[in-house]
Amino acid sequence: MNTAPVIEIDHLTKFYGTREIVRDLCLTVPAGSIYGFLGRNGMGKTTTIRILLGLEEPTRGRTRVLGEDSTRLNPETRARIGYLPEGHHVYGWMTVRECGKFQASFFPKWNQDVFEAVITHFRLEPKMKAGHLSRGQRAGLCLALTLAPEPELLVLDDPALGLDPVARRSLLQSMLYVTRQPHRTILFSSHLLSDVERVADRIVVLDGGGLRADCTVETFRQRLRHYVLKFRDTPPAAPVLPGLLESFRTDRELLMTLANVTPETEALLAALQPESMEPVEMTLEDAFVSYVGERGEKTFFTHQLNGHK
Amino acid sequence: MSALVWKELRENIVWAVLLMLALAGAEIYALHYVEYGGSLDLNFFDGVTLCKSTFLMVTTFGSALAGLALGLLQVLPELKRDRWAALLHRPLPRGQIFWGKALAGLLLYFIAAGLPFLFSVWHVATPGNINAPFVPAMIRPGLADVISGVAFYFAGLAVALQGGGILWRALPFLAAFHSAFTAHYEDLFRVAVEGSAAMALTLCVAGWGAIHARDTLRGRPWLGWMAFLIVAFYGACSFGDLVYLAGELTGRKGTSTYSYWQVLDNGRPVRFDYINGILVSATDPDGKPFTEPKYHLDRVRSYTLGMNQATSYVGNPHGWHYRWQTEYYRESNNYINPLQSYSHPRLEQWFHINGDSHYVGVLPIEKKVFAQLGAKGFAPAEAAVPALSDKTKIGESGNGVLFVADRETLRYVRLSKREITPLPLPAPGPIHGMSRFWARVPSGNVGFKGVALGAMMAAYDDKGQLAATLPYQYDVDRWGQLSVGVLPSLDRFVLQYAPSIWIDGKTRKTMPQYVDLVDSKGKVLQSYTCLPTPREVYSTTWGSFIAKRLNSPAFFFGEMLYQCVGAALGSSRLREKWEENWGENTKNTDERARMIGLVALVLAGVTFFWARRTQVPSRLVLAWTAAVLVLGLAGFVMFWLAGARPRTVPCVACRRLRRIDHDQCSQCGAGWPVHAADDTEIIDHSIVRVPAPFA
Amino acid sequence: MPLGFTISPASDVPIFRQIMHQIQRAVAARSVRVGEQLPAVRTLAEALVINPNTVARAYQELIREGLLESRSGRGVFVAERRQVFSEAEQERRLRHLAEQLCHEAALLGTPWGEVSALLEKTWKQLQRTPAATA
Repeated sequence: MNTAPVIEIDHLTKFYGTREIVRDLCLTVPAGSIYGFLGRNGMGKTTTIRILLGLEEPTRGRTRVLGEDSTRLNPETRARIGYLPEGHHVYGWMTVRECGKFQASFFPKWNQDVFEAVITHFRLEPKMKAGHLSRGQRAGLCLALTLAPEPELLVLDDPALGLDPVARRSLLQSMLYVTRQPHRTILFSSHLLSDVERVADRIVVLDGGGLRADCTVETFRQRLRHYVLKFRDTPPAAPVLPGLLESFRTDRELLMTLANVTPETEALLAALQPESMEPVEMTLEDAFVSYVGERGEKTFFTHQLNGHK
Repeated sequence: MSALVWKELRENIVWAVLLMLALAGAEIYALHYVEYGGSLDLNFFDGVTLCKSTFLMVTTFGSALAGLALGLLQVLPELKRDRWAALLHRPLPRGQIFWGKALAGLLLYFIAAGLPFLFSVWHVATPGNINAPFVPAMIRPGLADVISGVAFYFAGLAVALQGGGILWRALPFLAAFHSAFTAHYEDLFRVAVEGSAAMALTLCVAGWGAIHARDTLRGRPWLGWMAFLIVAFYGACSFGDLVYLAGELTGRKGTSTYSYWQVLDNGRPVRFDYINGILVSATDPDGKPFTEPKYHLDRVRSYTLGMNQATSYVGNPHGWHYRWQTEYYRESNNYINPLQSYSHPRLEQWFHINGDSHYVGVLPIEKKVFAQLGAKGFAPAEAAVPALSDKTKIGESGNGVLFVADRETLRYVRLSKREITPLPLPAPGPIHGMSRFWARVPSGNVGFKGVALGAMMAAYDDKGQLAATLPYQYDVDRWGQLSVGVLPSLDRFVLQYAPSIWIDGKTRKTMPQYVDLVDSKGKVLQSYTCLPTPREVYSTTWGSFIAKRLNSPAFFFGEMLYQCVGAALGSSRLREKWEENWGENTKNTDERARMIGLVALVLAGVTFFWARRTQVPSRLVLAWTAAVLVLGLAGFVMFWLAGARPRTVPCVACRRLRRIDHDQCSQCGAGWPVHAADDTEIIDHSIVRVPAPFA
Repeated sequence: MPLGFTISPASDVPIFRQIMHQIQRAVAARSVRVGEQLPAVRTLAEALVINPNTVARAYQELIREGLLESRSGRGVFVAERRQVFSEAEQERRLRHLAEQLCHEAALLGTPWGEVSALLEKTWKQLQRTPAATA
C-alpha cells in the first residue's frame, strides 16, 4: 500500500468576484487518518471541498487528490472518492431500492451488503419513497449510497447537520466502520465539537479563509490555556500579549485565554501581580469558541442593553 | 450512462406529456380555426391546413417554448449547489453526464413537440377531418419549426448550465432566437433546416463544454469554448434582429413613393402616385388630373378596369429565364392553391397541387377527395395521376371553370360537369400566357380570359366563346408585358404594353408603356403613350437602418465580394444584385460601407487597449483585435463576454495591476505576499502515531 | 470482562485520560484482577464510538506507567504491580491528591478527626475486596 498523501492542497486561493473565500491554504492529508475540518460558517470549508473534488476551479494554487490534479480527475479515481454533500439530497421520486440500483450502476465495485446494512441500521425499507423520508433517514440513505462503493477517501461536508442524536451516533459508527480497513481516509467538516473530539485524529481550523490550526485534538487543547487571575482590587486591563485571544474582567478577576503559552508569557502575566494565577482546563468546545471567536475584551451581552444612551 | 438516461426520463416525463397535450390541443384547434366565423373555411385566406398561419404560429412558438422549457427544466431544479455537486461527482467522464441528459431530452422533446406534429399530420392526412387535400410537401414549415425547437432545447440546456451574469447566460437563447428568426425568412426549406440543425449542433457542443466548467471558458475542452464563442457571436447578432423588430413594431413605416399606370373604365390610362401608401394624385398621359367628379381622388380606384398581366415577355427566351414567383417554403400558395368553390350540383372545391401539377377535387362537407384532374383528364380519387407539364398554363375563371393551354392547344374545362372541351384558336400558337379580366356591370362582373398568342391576343368569355381577337401593334419582343381589359360596354377592349422583363432594369426604366383602345376585331380606336414613372423610393424604418449598420464587416464586405465575383463569373442574378447596390443605391451602400468600417475600427481600437490593460497575453490581444475588426460589434460583444475578465489588483511590489489568478506578477515577477501570521497559529506536524500491535 | 466504561466528550478532561482514569479506578478497586485481559482497542473504540487511536493512546500511557502490559499478538492485560515510579514520584502523586482532600475538608469545615476516620474506612474497604494482593 502506498503511503503517498491522499490530499495535497498547495497555496490554494479562491476568489468569488471580489471576495476572497480561501486564502493561501496549504494542507497535506496522509492516508489512513480521520481529519476534522473546523471553522465558522462562511470560512471556506465547503468551497475548499468543492475545489478538491474538481467541482469548482481555484483562482490560484493547486489541489491534488489521490495523486491526481483535482481539475483533471479521471472517472476511475472518482470511483475511489466518496462524497456526501451538505443537505443530504436524494431524488425524491425514487424508492430506496431504486436509489441503490441507480447508484450501483455507476460503480464497478459496489458492496450491496454494506448498502443494505446501513439501510437497515437507519430503519429504512427498500420500498420507501425517498421524498417521504425524514432528515435523519435521508442522511442514512445518502450515507449508504456513499459507503457502498467502499471508497478509499470519504469526504463528508457537515454530515450531521439537522440530524437527531441517534442518527448522529449512527453516523459516527459508520465512520469508524470505514476505518476498519487500513489506509482509508476520512475528511469531514462539522460544528459539533464533541463528535469531532470523539472520532478525529487531527483537526484543521479554517479562519478567514486561511489555515490557522493543523494539529491533533490533543495538541489543540494543550496549546490553548485559560487563566484566571485574582486581584485584591479592580483588575488592570488585559495587557497586549502574544497569543492573546480574549479577555474578560469582573470585579476582582481577570480571565484570559491564550494560545501557544510560553514561560515568557507566563512571566508577563505574573508581572501584573495578581493574588493568584491558575490555569484552567477547557472543553474542546470552549477552546474552539475562544479560538475563532472575536478577539479582545468580551462585552457582548454582559451589560444591560437599554436601547438608548 | 443508461441509468442516467433512465433517471432523466423518469424525472421529466410529466413535463413532456403535459407539453405534448397542450401542443396537440393547440395544433388541432388551429387546424380547425376559421378566422371569419362559420364552421367551414372555403376561402383559406389564412393558408391551407398545415400551412395555415395560425397553425404555424403554434408550431413555431410552441416547439420553441417546449424545447426551451425542457432544456431548462432538466437542469435548473438540480442546480442548487449541492444537488449539482452530487450529480457531477460520479465516476463518469463529465461529458457523458451531459450526453445522458441530452439523449433523454431529445426523446422528451420528440414526445412534447414531435408527437403532436405527427398527430396533426395524421389528422390532416386522414379523410374525413379536414376539407382540403393532404399534400405531403406541406409538412415542411411545421417540420422546420420542430427542428428549430431542437436548437431551443439545446439552448435551454446551455442557458441553465452556463454560469455568470444574466447576459452571459442569455446568449444561447439569443443565438437560437437569431437562428429561428433567420430561418423564418429563408426561402428554401433545405437551407432553413440546415441552419437550424447547425445551430442546434453548435448549441449542443457549447452545452457539453459548459458542463465541464460553469463560470469560465478556460476549464472547458477547446471544442466546447469554440462552440460557445460561436453561440455568443450569433447571440450578439440577434441584437440586430431585435433592433430591426423594434423598428418594425414601433417606428413609422419608412417613407415610400411609387407610381404605376392603370386604365379607367373610359378606356384612358391613369397614373397613380402614392406617398407612404396614400394615393396623392391621378393624372392622364398628358400629366393632367381628371376633371370628372366620378374620378375624384378618393373614388377613382373603383373605376379602373379589372386587368391582369398575361405575359412577362413574349417570344423565344433570350437565353435568360427569370422566374417571376419566389419560392417561400412557409407560404401556403407555394404548395397548393384553392379555387373558388361552387355548389351545383353539390358543394365542391378544387385545389391545384403545385408539386406534381394537378388538380384535386374535395367535398368540403364530407371532407374527402372525390376526383382528380391531370394531364390525361379526370381521374378517380385513388388513382395515380400524371402531372400536367410545367409548360401547361392554366387560367382559373371562377365558378369551376378552367382554361388549360399547352403550347399549341387550348381547352375549356368545366369542373362541375367533368367536361373537357377543346377550343379553337383564331391564330396558330404558341400560347405565351393567359390572364383573367372582367368588366363591372350592374348585374355583377362579366369575366373573360385573355390568351396571348404570337401575333395577337384572343379573348374568350366565361363560356368558352371567342369574344375578341386583338392583334399586337407594337414590338412585343421589347414590349412583352401584355395585359388586356374590357370596358363595361363589353364592346371595347384595352391592350396595355409594358417593357419585357428580360430587358435590364436601367433600360427598362427609360421605356414608356403603351395603351390602345380597340374594338373586338382589334381596330385601334385610340392610342396612348404612358411615359415612364419616376423611380420608386423606399426608405426603411429606423430599426432596419441601424440593423443594417450593425453588420459585421466580414459579412458585409464578404457579400459584396461574393456578388462581384459571381457577376464576373456570369451569374445574372448576382449581377443584378451587384448593380443594384452600386447602381441606384450607390450612395446608400457607400455610406453603409463607411459606417460599418468605422464602427469596426473604433471597436477594434477599444478592444486593443482594453485587452492590454487587463493583462491579456499579447498574441491573444492581436487575435482579438483582428477578430473585432472583422466581426464588428458582434465580435466586440464576444470579446467582452469571453474575457470573463479576471480580477486585477495592484501589485504590492511594483504598484501596477496584476491578475489574481497568476502566481507571478507579469510586470515585475513578484510572487504573492505571504500572509502575516499572528501568534495564535497552532501548526504541529509531528504526527503522534500510536502503533497498534494490539488490534 | 467488559468493563462499564463511559466517556463524556464535552468535558475538560481529554477522552484518553478519562479512559485511563476509569481503568486505574477499576484496577484499584479490584474489579479487574491482575492478568485479566482488557478489551481489544477496536472493540472498545467501536463500543464507545470513539477513535481507536484514543483507546490505543490510553493503553499506551498505562503500559508506560506499568499498570498494563502488552503481550504480543494476544492483547493488553493488567500487569503485576511493579515499582515503576521512584519514591519521589510516588510521593508527588499522593501529595497532590492529599492536598486536594485537605483543601476540600477545610472548605467544608470538617475537623481532622472525621477526615482521618474517613480515610481509614476507605482503605479498609479497598483491602477487603477479593483480589490477588500485591
